[in-house]
Amino acid sequence: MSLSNRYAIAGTATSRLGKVPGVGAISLMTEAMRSCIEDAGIDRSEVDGVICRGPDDVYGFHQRVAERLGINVGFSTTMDNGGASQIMSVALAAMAIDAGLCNVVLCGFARDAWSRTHRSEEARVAGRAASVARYEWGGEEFGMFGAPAMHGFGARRHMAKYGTTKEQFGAVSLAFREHALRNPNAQMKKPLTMQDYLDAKPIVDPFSMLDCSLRSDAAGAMLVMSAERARDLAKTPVLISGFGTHNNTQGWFVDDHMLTTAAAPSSKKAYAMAGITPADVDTFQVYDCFTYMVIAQLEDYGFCAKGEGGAFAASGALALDGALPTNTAGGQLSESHAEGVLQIVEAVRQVRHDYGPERQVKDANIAMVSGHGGNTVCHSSMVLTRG
Amino acid sequence: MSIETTGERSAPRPPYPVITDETAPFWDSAHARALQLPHCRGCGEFFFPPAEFCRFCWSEEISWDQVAGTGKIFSFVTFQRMYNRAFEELLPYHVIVVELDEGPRFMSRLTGLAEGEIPTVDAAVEVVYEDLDETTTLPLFRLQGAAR
Repeated sequence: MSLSNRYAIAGTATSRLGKVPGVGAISLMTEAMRSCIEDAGIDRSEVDGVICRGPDDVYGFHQRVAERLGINVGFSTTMDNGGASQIMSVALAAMAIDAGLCNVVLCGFARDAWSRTHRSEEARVAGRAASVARYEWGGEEFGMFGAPAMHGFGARRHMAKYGTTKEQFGAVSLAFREHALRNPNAQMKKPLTMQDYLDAKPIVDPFSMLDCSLRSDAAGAMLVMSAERARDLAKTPVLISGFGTHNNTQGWFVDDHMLTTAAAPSSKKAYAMAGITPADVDTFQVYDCFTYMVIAQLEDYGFCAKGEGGAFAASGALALDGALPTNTAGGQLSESHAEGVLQIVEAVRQVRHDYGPERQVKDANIAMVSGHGGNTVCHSSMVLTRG
Repeated sequence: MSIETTGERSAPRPPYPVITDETAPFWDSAHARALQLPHCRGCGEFFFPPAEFCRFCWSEEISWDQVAGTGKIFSFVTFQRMYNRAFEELLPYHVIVVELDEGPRFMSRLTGLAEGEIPTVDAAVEVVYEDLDETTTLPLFRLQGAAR
């Protein structure tokens, strides 16, 4: 029996976002989870599952989080699929409940990336390079460093093959900044013009500072339970209507994975499970590690044809009153970067109609959420529906 | 902080290749100025990265054979900001994904560009070798037809 619409997100919350010095990822996680339980209006004694992810160097992150929350849980694990993990945590929660292993599961992600990289100038420089263990073919001996360059290969190839322009990448950055200005918790608070974007500090061409997501201290959490149980709570339940995942594990350099990413097969599975098409999506909460990845996903999710993502973004479609309101809290480019968990939080809030007219997507009943990561090749997708 | 140097270069010692039993033939062949890649005797494909068996047909009959050293730029990025002090004096520099004529793709750095010359996707390139020291050599690439 399909899991579609049988499980729900019954509560959600974030921690403080942006620059939260002196706290650390475990505390940010527990801050968000505690608020999440309060949002759902249940007692913590009802929680019997924890699925989460934190910095890669914290062993057994889920155990340390549950320890501080003061709970024993029947099902508990840390996810390890980069930015694709957060949607997979929610999906695994539904599967674990369905298997009878637990009933009420806290999911979440936390990082303290801003604090870690701003302790000293050395930390700032070191923080630009990938924080993962060195890989034999990572290219450091050739001067290859960091996620911006790896994703930049895709951006460069898209520009060469489809004529995508720097200004079209800029349209993504500007749209999300405009949304962040409506979000009092967003890390970035300054208005942006196209000239500001084009004049931004170069990083690794074709990307400058404003093509790259933020370094943030940030956490987000979701509470998953049966839809039946969620209907008894005060907040409108948000149904998990569909999910999918796909991983181009043979690599970013193989075939044409840089242009047609793992988002294509991942989103197909989510649409099929939910029984919807791209035209049914009221708001898109997309994993925006870099501006190019938004353009690739607009295509791979079927919102426009392959090669037309740049023009689609530049058309104004991503605005709050556009054809596809996207990253309505500001995204990882302007709200805060928490490996995709804030995209899930924002999708829940939009379909619950939590906001006043300045931030609410009109008649938002179906949200598509994406998660991308794991060295550019892993992807997950989720359809959330107003219950 | 102590800074190691390579002698002539004033920059700090760059990161060296990660040389393991599996990766050594690649670096040894670069040092010999005759680049080799793993070559499957089962299906005839060259493949990368090196592995105990061919990722296409799973044959274990693998030999390391010389490649022509020519190919094209599959994609490239241009570093404009310092990530590692060893590369500061090279800025701006281009890291490429090269696609060899034999098929495999991997990362390298473009070298030998004239002042103001800009690489393009699909541009033809050929291997050149740069010694880091007396035992370790990087296979870099330059545009085909570049001034010698």
